[in-house]
Amino acid sequence: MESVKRAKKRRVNYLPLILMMLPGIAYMIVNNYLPMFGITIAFKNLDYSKGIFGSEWVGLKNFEFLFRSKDFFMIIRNTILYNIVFILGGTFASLAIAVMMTELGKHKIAKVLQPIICFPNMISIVIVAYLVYGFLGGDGWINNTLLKGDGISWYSKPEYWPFILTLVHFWKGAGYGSIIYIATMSGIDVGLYEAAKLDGATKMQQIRLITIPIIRPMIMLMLLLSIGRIFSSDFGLFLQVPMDSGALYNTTQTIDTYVYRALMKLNDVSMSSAASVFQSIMGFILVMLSNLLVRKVDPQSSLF
Amino acid sequence: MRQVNSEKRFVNSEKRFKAICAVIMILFAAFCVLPFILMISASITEESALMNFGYKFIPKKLSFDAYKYLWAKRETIGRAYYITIIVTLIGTTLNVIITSMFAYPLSRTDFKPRHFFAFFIFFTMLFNGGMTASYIIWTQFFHIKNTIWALLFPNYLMSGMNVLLVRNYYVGSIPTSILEAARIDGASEMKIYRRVLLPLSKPVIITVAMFAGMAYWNDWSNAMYYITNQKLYSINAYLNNLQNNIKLLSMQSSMTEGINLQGLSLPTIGARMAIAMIAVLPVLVIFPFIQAELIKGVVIGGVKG
Amino acid sequence: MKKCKILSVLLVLCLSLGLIACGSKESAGNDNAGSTTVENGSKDSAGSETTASKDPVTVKVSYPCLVIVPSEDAVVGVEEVINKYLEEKGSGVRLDLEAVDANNYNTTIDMKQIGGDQVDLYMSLGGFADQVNSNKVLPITDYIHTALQPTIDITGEEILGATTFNGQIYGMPVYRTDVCTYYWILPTTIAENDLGFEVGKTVTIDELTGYLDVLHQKYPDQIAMAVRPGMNGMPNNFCLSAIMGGPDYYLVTDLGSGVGIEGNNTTVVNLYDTDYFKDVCQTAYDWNQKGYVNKDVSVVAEEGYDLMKAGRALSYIIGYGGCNPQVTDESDSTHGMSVMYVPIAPAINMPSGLNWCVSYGCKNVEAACEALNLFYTDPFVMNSILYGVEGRDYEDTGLGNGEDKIVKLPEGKTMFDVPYYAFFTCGIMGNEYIDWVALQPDGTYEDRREANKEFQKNAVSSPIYGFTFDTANVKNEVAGISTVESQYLSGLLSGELDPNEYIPKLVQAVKDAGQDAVIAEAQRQIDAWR
Repeated sequence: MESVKRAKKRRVNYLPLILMMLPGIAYMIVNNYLPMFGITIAFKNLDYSKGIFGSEWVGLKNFEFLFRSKDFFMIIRNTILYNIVFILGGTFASLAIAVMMTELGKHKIAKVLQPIICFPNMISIVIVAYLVYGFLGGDGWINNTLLKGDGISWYSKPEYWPFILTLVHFWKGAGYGSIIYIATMSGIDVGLYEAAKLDGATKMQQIRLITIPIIRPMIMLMLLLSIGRIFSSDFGLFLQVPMDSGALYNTTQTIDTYVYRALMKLNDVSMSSAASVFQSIMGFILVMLSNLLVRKVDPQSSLF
Repeated sequence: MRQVNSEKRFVNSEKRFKAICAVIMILFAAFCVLPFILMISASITEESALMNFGYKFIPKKLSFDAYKYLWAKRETIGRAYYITIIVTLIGTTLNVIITSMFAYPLSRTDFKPRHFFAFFIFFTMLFNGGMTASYIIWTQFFHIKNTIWALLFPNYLMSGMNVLLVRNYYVGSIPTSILEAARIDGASEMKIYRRVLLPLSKPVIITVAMFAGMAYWNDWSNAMYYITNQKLYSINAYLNNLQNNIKLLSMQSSMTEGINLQGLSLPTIGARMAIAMIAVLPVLVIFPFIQAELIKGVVIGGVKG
Repeated sequence: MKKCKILSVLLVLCLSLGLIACGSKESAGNDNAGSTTVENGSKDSAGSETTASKDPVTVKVSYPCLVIVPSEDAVVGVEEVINKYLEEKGSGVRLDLEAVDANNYNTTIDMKQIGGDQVDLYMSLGGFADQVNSNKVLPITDYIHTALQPTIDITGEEILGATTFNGQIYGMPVYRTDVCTYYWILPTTIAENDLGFEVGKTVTIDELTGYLDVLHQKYPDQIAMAVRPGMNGMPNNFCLSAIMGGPDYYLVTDLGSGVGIEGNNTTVVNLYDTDYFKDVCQTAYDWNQKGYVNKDVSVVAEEGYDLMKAGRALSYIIGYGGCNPQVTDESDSTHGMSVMYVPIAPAINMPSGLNWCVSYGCKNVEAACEALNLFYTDPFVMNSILYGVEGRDYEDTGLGNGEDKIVKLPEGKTMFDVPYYAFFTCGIMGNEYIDWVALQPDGTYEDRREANKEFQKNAVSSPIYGFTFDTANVKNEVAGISTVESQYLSGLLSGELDPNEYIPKLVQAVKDAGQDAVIAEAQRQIDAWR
């Protein structure tokens, strides 16, 4: 009797919770789930007179241009390698920045620094490309002012670009990415640090034993989300920053830029949709696997 | 005696650590701001100086032509700003409310369906039906074309990432003891959410507000697809257009010799930078204020046991 | 470097060249407020007025507008004027005008079509074959000799070759001077003093190398010739290359993907494997090695005329579409100095690829064709779409010849002040030759229409002029070739890459991507087309 009553009580309590979720659920259905039928475009031969629903299915034909390509492995390799570096390095950089910024805390200087490190994220990547060109171009600052003489033709030497692009990526994102960690860190009970200090813990120990474990779920969340997008890339970064230079192909071509260049002349919605579906599916599989792993090791940190 | 000494050492090492942090961060901030200065300088440099000498930190030859050109369009730009500001404010507020409300039940360990809904949200982050399908849904069923709703609803009103961020914050940073205490006091879920949860989650709310706000501000694709009435263009949509038109106009005048643009000076490179400047200016101004709130942080105290 | 002169012809669907407005000068004045003034068009469209006997059909016309997109109110005003005129004329159609930003024209129309918005008449700005294949357009074959007969009388039936697929006609090409010429542009002072040119001089590419050397020696600090990626003097891309010369030259027709015809025949080959391509790249390479062109040529972002204006470069090459410009230009704001245009190639006939089409969603194709016919035959309708409402947006100077007017902006107004201004759409609207001439700010005007027609008559044509290549069956190969091209082409054409090393790589790469299949397909289509 008692347990049934209790069970009933708890189930009734779900109602206000569901109500709170209602606007979100409604929006997700309308904005994200209803349009999902668009994914079928990737598997169809789009015929405008029949519309999306009436067009005929062609299986994986739209994927052929991607899979059959000679460059298939190269672009996957590039995309994933860059992403691994970006994810690992970026997380480390953002964490380091967050720790340092939290340390500087209420000092006046923090108020000035914090917005500044987020500025790079606000400049559009096209402008960033021009600015980089201003540095690395034939008549740019580096060749003219720094190196005097012949200079280096940066835009035709692929070997430099993994470094250049990584640098640009961090410049743009590290500061902005640290915000969420700063936010989480600011919620940590100061008393914990006080107690640790009394016990004689050094700064590094405090960070290692208090800060990181507490924000670990947040770090894991960001990592898992990034893994989901590991087959995608920042289109602007890889196409526009190298000024669309063909010579830099081998080290700057990712799945997204490849699809763009391949379909430039064709204007084919189905084929570009196919590429995007491929990226999504691969990312999805990876995240599901990673999430399973995380759930075994650290259940609190898993996505779901 | 020894206690005091080790304390002193302790305080010194703390100060040292702080100093190191400050130095590194200042260097990093300088690294961040440098290209920005380049951008500002390029936007006030005379066009031929830009062509001949490239981008320099200090303009070789000052010229405000680019800004003059934009000043002439101030009415349209002003209106675009106005629209964008309204859309950003309303959109961000709605986003924050919907997101935080949605995340609360997800954070409750006794809410059984929470994993299902988390997956529900997460799935949308990876798979989307594409622009065409969204267009069909929003225009055929909801008729938002050429209305302000077209700038508000598609895509940015709620994002999976924000929801998960908030959820994680709730789970990790809000002690359940406080929530329990409120519940025992007989508060309803909404009350707990409003009176207890929100005030304690200020940092993450501010963060989500920043992310959502930036997304709305930077958006130009909603305007491009759903709006043809130029009076409703957001600032970035308008500026994108302007950029393309400058390119086209200067192409026209040389390729056709047909359009005589006497008196209409069209600085191209400088204009590009000037346009980028006025696209981010309001954000640059507001950001520091919002961030100051973030740093203030939350001090949780007074919870026994 | 081979002695033989090189000339090439191309079938290119090039949007930027196609959007060239017609060749008359237009006044612009100063850019003041920039905002549109209050317009006084009423909200109701005159679309559903009934005439005595038959209900007129409203046809929606979605046309692209460059730079200035008139507001809906302004457009309504123009609609009313046109529809009143049509009613008086007893026409069975009324127009519902829709001005679309040319920057996003293709995407916008695409969205409308798939999203279910009404689209009747619209333009295909490139990619015509794809539009037919995905069933975006309806055939208008039945109405060619009925509703569109007056148009065909003016344009002739040959131009329909570009829009005919499988025996059906799917679109009406724009009737204009589709000619492309390439000019070497340099300051008049330098041309006359340093090189001894006179107005009317023409050069060949061989000679050009010599002249560039002179300039480079004389002005070592400046760039002898500014080039854009792939525009080393073989403008736009090698496919548009036209190098003037004597009786023997290369005649090249490019169908895209490196596939095309060399010479006056109909055999399709791999263009990257031809002597022509080797010559072009070798010349470019020489120029680059000798320092005549800018560094970082394959990624450079600045336009030639901008560099010239800043004094950074001495000259550049550019192609002109649509008309025959003056050979010298005195009052030039683009260059900031007087420049001389030196042709480096004969005029080439180049179909614009701009076609008016009837969208699949149109309910009354006959009415759409009648409306379409108006764009080619009725000056009032055409020019109202371009210039707007008389009195409000333009004024008649009275200098014209009856129906053929010469117009100007109202006193004290610039193109940004008047409610409606779509002059930039001229040349892609229908029949370019019935456009009214616009008055220049200095009170003069130029009527180049007859001159343009003559110009076109003397232009060189490709042996398969009018043929459009349908790549539906070889999409994957085209995609693969496209990526290969983006890797090598820019560098080769700019002269950054050594042709001896990289042309073989390019040829091998396109072969691997399946170019042989594309060649075979093109050959098949051409044989069937003839």
